[in-house]
Amino acid sequence: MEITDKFLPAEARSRKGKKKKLFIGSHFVLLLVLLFVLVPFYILVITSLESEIEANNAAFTWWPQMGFTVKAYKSVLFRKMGGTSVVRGLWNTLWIYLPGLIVGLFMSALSAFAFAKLRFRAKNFMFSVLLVTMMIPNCMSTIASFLIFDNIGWVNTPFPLMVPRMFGSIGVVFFLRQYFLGIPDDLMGAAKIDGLSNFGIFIKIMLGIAAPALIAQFIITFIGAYNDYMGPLIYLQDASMYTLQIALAFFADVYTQNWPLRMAGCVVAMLPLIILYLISQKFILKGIAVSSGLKG
Amino acid sequence: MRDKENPEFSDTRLFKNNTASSAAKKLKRREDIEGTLMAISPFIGYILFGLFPMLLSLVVSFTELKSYDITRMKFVGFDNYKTILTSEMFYTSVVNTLYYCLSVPVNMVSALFIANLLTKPLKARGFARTVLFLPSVCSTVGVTLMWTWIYEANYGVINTFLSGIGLPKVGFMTTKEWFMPSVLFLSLWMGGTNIVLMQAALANVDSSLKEAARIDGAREITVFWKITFPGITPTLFYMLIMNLIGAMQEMAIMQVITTNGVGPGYRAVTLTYYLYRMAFTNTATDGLGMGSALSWIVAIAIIIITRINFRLSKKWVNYD
Repeated sequence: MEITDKFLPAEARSRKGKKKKLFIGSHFVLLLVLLFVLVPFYILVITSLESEIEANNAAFTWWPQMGFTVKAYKSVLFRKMGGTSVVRGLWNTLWIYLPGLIVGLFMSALSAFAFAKLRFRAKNFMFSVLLVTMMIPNCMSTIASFLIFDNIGWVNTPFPLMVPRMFGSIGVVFFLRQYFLGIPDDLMGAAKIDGLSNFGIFIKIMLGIAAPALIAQFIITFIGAYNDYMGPLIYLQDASMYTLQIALAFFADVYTQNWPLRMAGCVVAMLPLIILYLISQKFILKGIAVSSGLKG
Repeated sequence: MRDKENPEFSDTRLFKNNTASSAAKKLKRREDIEGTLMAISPFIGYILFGLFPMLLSLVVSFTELKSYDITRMKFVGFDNYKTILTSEMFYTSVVNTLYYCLSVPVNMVSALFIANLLTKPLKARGFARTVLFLPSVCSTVGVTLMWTWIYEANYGVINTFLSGIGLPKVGFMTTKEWFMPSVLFLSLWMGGTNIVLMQAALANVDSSLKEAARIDGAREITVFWKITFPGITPTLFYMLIMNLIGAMQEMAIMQVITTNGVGPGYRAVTLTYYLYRMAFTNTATDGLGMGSALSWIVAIAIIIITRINFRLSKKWVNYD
């Protein structure tokens, strides 16, 4: 390398050196960024495996001085507190949100299919209204929604978290519409000749073709629902109905000074989604990237 | 084919052709109804659970309502709005919210920087992508709890480090000055979604244009500002609008991170957290009327800011 470099003109040589420096520099910066993201996770896990005495009474160490223990995990998984537990919370999260998410995904897909493939008079008007609603902040509906749900007896039931989701979500409609637009129209024509109605085409053909997009949107909305905090905080008052996030916050409120326990709770609450993400990251990242496709 | 073989059949076809326009009209009507019905579900959802509560909250904002009993509403005109706009707490929460909104430009610039870094032929790019999005799938509650431990006043990581190098410990969560910067840092850590969006935008920039400019001897920085940046402005604009709408309504972090409900020196009270507290924590003193009035003030502010952003976008966003 040294020898060949010497035969290069001075300018090219300096440029090459510069490039190499830039190459090393970029890697160094990337390493710093990755450390910034990963170190907190490390701290989280290592603390959850420490003994309570060590975490609460000594300066933080990167490796437990008094040995590892899974005591905190045992408490998190098996201790019941005021009618709630993390396991119970996980179960509640699933049965409260999944029906709304599944029905909602179907309705969003149906709507997106109509916007992408059918011709009807109100189409453009309806679509631009949907666009505008995305920009309307929803903070003013929080209080009144509670008032309404309270007056029809839905507070402290899972319905406020379940039913609104069943109508589909505007963001998902946008994403799926984009996907349906990419499916050739010839397919529709062929299916019509075979005597299928529009709804039949949707059920028998489109849902199958759009399966990857549907899975992506399902996972993304599931992540959102799983991590939903303000909704269940407002509507679920009975501890036996707490979702995982509320159970976690409740745990943390009770054990304000038991850091291993709090951190173990975080790990247990985060782990299902982290595993889901690692399995399906291609779907998720693609789904998120395309959702910005409504530009211009 | 069959038509040609069977003259009677083609006769019927001819006959049908005469009435085709009315049949087509009927078909068109059917499609109109069918399409509307299929598309309508998110609308009904929005009307029932978005629009209707919004209008109700407009009504409630002109009343005094210090319980959840809707029959006890008492009309008070603009009193709620007056009380809020003259209260000191409101301006504190405006300042706090604007302070938190600093996260938008900070997170966007850092996301752009990192996404740009990832366009280079680096090792472990796939791994980096995976890692960078990881915080975004973690819940606000979990992440916030985790950072409270990192920020912890006595034995947290940062304070252990600070005292190790002979500096005094800092109460990140307990002092007025440090609270919001600590929260901003936390939100920076969670910024994976922005990086993914930015990466997608950068990947869509025409690379042949960049190559051509490089061959012409343009420097990297010029290539970035003249070719890459204009290409990603639509995504930047979309992110700016959506992140700002989100940041102006942030309250989950504040709700979890504070132990006393308001943070040191009321620094945790953002506008939406303030209205949440009015309606759900201080129901008997502030009540739902006040909360609704504040929610409309916030909403109108957000809509005005969004409109200004759309106006300004004509100057810098480049749609091709």
